[in-house]
Amino acid sequence: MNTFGLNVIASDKDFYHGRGKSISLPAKDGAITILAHHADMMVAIVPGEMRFQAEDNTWYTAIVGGGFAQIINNRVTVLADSIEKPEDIDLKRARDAKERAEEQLRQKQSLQEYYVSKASLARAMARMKAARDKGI
Amino acid sequence: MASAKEIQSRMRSIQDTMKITSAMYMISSSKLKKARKTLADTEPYFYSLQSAIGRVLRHMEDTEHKYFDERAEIAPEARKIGYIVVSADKGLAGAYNHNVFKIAEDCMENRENVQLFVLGEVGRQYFFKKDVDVDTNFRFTVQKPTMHRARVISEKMIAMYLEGELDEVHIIYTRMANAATMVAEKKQLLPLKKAAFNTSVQKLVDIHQEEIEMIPSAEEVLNSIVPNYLRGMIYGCLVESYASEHNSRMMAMDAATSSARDMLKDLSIKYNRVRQAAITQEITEVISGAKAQKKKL
Repeated sequence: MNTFGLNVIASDKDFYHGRGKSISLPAKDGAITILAHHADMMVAIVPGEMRFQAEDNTWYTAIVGGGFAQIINNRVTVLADSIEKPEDIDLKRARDAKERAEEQLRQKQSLQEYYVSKASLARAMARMKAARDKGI
Repeated sequence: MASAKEIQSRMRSIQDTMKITSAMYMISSSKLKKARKTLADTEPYFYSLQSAIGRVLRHMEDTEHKYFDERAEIAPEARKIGYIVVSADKGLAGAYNHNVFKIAEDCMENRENVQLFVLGEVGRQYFFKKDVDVDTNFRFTVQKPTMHRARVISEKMIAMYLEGELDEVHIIYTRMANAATMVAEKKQLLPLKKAAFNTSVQKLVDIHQEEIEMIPSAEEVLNSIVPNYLRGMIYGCLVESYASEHNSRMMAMDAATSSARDMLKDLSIKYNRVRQAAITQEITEVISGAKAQKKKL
């Protein structure tokens, strides 16, 4: 199976650096999977779950916040403001964040505040889903 | 000459101050180490982001986008400009705060429609006393910069920019040029300047440009990249400032500690002299008293 260069970079750390065989990313209109020699493109990523297969066939799962990915010359770069492993997720914190976001959404807000609350709700939901899948 | 006791109490007070300054030196140096590490951790993200925007722009040079809109129709003197000013939460950091304030004041000179968004308690107090238009709801600390804080700040700035409350957003912060020098700087955040990303375009003119598909659309991709970029930019500036603050404080405290040491050295020489003089005087008194008694006999 062909491989591609893969860099997964979060704002606070280098998450993965190496070669990969396949990567699935949460895009605006559904998940998108990229294999080796994909056409060049740029994708906007929404908060959700990202999965990728490294060269040694191990699968990695990570929770991404908003960001984007670029595929250029068989090199994939994923840039997101937060990328976490499921085992690093603090379920309690995510639940609190979800409640806070829901609370804010119930109140009258400006359009901008609405988007902010929506985005933090999406992040919290993505984290909670990943933690549940892990069975924590 | 001051009495021995006075000198002694002076020395004690200097010693106490020196304890504080050397403790602050130690605290700042450990915080600086941490700040340097976070700075190194964010650098790869930041640079990749910058090159990604450059690439998007290269592929759609004639795109009109809201974040690149210079709003040239607004006259220069009518433009509403917002400055984010990054200062420290406390002083005792040499010229760190003053350098930032100086730039901010230069920018505000002869201008109306300027709004300041001040980070850090020192800056807030300073501009409050000067009756400057400071956003009072903009309350953030500069300690331990986090991505979350950068996100809140950038979202607020973007919202104000898009709603037309601000036509330009700049940030005034302090950059670490190298381990010993800090430079206060002004940087434009919004609207993004295409020229800033286009440095390598000329070189690439002859090279075949690959087609890049944007999913879902170029507009949508930029909508997602630009706020990310601003967030990263603000975060980077906050971390740089934090590191600079502690570096300045470290240097200031180091200078304070060494000058305290000098003063102590001078004072202890003085103290010894005074003590010696007192002893000499006492001996003279005793001897002359004894002599006087002898004559009587």
